[in-house]
Amino acid sequence: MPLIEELPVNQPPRASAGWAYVPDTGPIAAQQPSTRGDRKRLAATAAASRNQSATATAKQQKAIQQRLDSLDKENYRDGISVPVPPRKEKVGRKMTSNVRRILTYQRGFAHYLADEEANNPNGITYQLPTLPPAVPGLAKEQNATARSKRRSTVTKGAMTSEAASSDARDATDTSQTKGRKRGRPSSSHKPNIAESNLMDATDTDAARVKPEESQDAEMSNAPTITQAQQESTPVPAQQQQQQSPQPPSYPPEWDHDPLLASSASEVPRMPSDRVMQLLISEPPLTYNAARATPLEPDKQLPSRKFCGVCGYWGKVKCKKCGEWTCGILECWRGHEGVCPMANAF
Amino acid sequence: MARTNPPASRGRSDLPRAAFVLDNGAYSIKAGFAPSDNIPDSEKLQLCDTIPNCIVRSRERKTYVASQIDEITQWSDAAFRRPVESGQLVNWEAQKEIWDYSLFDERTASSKTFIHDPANTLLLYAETPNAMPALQKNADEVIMEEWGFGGYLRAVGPSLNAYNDLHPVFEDAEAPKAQSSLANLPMECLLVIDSGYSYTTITPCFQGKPIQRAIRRLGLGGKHLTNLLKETISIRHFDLHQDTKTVNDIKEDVTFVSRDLKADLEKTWKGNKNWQRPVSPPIADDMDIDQKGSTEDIRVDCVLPDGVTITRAFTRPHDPSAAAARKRKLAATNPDSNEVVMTLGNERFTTPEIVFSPSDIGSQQPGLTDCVIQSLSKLPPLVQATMLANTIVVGGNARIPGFVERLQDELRAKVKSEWSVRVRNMEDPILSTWLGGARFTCNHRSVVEEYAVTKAEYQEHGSNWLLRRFAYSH
Ligand SMILES: [Zn+2]
Ligand SMILES: [Zn+2]
Repeated sequence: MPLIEELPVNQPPRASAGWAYVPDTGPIAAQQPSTRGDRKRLAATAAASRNQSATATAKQQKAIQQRLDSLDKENYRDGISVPVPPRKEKVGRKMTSNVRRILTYQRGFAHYLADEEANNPNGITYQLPTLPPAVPGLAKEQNATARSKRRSTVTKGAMTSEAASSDARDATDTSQTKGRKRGRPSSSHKPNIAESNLMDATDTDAARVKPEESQDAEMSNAPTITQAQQESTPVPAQQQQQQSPQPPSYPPEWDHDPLLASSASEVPRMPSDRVMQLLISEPPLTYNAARATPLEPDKQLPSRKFCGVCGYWGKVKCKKCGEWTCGILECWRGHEGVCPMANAF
Repeated sequence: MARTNPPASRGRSDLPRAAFVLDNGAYSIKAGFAPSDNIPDSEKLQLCDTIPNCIVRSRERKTYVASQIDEITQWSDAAFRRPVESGQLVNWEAQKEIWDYSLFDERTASSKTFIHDPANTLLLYAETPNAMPALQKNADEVIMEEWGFGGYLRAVGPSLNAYNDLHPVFEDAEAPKAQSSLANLPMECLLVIDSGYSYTTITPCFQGKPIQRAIRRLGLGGKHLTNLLKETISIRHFDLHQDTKTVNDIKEDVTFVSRDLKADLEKTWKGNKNWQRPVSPPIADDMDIDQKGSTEDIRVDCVLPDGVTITRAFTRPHDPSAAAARKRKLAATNPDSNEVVMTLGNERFTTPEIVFSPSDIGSQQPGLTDCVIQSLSKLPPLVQATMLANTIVVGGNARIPGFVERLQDELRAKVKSEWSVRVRNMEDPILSTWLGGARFTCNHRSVVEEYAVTKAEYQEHGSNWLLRRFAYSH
């Protein structure tokens, strides 16, 4: 009764009693992300493993989700309630109705999250507020003096200033050129500062490793404030918030900022104070919009397999349950003893 | 009064001088009064207390609040309740009890955290990034209406780190001396990675303020590492599913982030030829260095608590002798044996590995490095570069050896080689946010006064006003 499925491989698997070695190069390759020039092969492996996983049953997906949920638990057992011990005496304060309501409101995290999603479909929590009259002008004053003192330290440490500006120029130029070539929406609709230049260069190792993906890689799916604001002019305000006419959070002047200009002759520099001040006065994203987003499938490394018994690379797959073991007999026996599908046939 | 004075001095004398800094973490509260004078950081830290932010019910069904849990000796089967769920302060019934116990009740609060007179205290409350507005409003209302603080300022916790003295951290030789006031200014560009109990956040800060559009979150934190280690130990050694505290202790003692996963896995695999090679046979001199390098033992022996003589798990170097192996085997089968030992190998580094490779547990989330890249991609290019050169890691997971180095290695491999990548650890990453807050209230009184609200303002304008105001001023 063979328990291990033999995956189609190039070399004949070496069989022994009841189980087989299945060479699985995925994990070994996967943990060498720095290997240059191996990308194509890695991508191919990734594609292969994706196809494989596409056939994974809904049951397996469910098992993964259950495991992730269990790792997120506070207590191993469900439904445990730990009552708050009663206070022996009240401390002379009279509780306000707000406080009483909040204390007795027993909804959990999921409830609040659902509420927030319903109220803020665009991924931002607040409209850019109209300034409350109480906010004094002090900030600007104070910041202005501080800034003038600090200006010199801005790029210090990032790189030598010479290298810095030339690099930045290169980076900016390449990305903008490519952006245009690829017919990306022009910057007149949104500030393209969101574009990444992190890996964007033609003459570096990084570029060789990731030749194409770099330009687009970093545009996350999370709605930027700009997009969100533009796509839906009448954003439903939060229920409690007063409705008031909202200025657009994205000022059209940004389009004329030298940083964003596409002219190649432009010397790049730190964004103007105005741009930076606008950046730090934007409202927060919603909880969900701030989640890191999964990488595009073709940018994901193949998932690594580990021995379910000892934790070494998984090289042998159990035919019954899909669990991996490392190939030594001890681990296989260990798995046999606990295989959830052992009695399935 | 506010109308008659110029903005810069707008009646701010009505804000209390005394400032209490509160970093209300999911796992622990970091709290204490900021000093009134500018004392050295080491002395400031003496003013901060760390309080467990939980209520625990023991197997004997006795309930322990906050620092009371130090009395627990039988941790097995203990159940936890935490007011902060998924990083968000959700349950005020539990939170109020913990705060009452730790901050407002003279009989139970420690001398550092007892707030005798809230009406004459300004509260600097550090919140998690992307806190939900409905929950922010709850916090504002309870803080202002239940305890009646004379002054209140709610700020995004990670950004307070910009006020720390970061020049030594980045080994900046040009640390300003002549212009010592410069040392107190917030770091102009700072990337703060806060890896806590519930999750890990990435917050780029400019002039001490978060750049909201670029804040990103990886949904993995210390809780997941502890649960994963629990799961692994329960499969391989003993069932410790009900022993959260013990496994958490073990995690803190033994885990590290590998800088070379392949090599470390080889070193800890039973299938390898070198496995359990006795230490005794002498090795030729010329082989010595090589051998040391390749057989350095990652394994440790971990002694579990028995609740009587041993109340906390502890570890010691692995004893590879046959006698020790026999003893361990005996102990595993005989519950009466006096010492319960297990040997941990690759568990030590495959556990925190999931922060860098979440797909190892089947999660679709990107690893921490890609999360950082996603965050930076929302910034102008030169700001990206400056952030990369000024990156700190705070929160409990920053204490895991190798965490900072691995992140730097991976970022280094991903970005242009001309760009400097400097990822640093704070000396005390758990208290770092509190310390930044204390320095902020100490050295930047005028900024505090600009953004804080008084009790009277709250009473006049209400919580919706406050919500919008803090949303703007972050
Ligand atoms: Zn194995
Ligand atoms: Zn199986």
